[in-house]
Amino acid sequence: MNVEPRSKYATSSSRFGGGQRSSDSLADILERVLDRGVVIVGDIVVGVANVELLTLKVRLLVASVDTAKEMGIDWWMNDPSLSSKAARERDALEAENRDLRARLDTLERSLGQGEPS
Amino acid sequence: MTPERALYLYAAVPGDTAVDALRGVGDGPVEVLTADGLGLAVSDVATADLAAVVAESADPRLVGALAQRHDAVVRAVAASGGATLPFRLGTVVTDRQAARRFLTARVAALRAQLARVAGCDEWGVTVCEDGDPHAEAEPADASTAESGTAYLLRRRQHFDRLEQRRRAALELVAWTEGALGETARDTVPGKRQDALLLDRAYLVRRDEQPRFVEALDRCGDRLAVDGLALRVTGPWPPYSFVDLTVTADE
Repeated sequence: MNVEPRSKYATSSSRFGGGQRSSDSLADILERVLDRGVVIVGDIVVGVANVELLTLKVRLLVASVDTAKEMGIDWWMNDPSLSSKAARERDALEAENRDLRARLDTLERSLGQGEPS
Repeated sequence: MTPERALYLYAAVPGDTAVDALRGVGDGPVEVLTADGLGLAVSDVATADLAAVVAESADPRLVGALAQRHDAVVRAVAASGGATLPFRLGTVVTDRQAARRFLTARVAALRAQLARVAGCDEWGVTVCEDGDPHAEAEPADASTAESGTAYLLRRRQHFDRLEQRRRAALELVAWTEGALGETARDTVPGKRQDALLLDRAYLVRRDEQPRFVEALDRCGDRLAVDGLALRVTGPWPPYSFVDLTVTADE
């Protein structure tokens, strides 16, 4: 097999056919697969995973990782099709995340199982 | 009514494409259906599995897993060497007969798109400011010792410097676009073109890849001198270079 030339500015080991890709490239994957590609219109399409549902889910996914900015998943923020409903759900999720983290911290401290620094 | 089982579509390919043992969405084996010299990489899925991914109460991480599996299959198909036209994430048709009908409905369009991307990979390239773009602080409020005129002058010089830097950055980015565009077969803007200094996808022939990578490194080095960061992803299947909406029921 040929050795692929790699730019030193490449951010992930994204070789074709090469097993699992690192999670930090999930943002790059989502950016490419979500609303691009061949689109079929017509009766033969089963609408269980239509793009609106998937887009909403991706937004929730982004909201559930507080490293969204680091991951670079913010291209949808300026998206005019982003409904305020999705934004509200995101805010709610973020709040829930913070709340859960705080409760986890408290729990860990009370159990004395915090990581030694 | 939604059927219980359906066919998940990954990519349109030339009819002679062979895929190695490969598991798709929901772990079904991936196969290549053919009609009219064209092929479709597909796998059987339970529609309930997909419905579970998009359900309102579903863990959003499921959609990440779906995207990763979709991408893994499209990559593996592309790795077989033939031209590959990825489908949009979550494209599901009723059955094999419908899938073949889709192929025969738009043979010419599919062939044209396949020819466009044959022998090519996609590369994602972005440029942004490295670190805080506003690192140079605005001048502090006028001290008592400083006259108002001096303060305003200092302030104007500060903004002039920022403007100069912005112009220099735009010039460098234009130079980068020129250098990369020379080696690429095609290019399209990315979704973050407004937010970043540069966000483009490049379609690059595999035999031009060493030259393209060399250009990337040369541009990256130069950009870094001015505090600009080049970020490269790829090679990808040509996700951004498929421009096709097909009505299958004509």
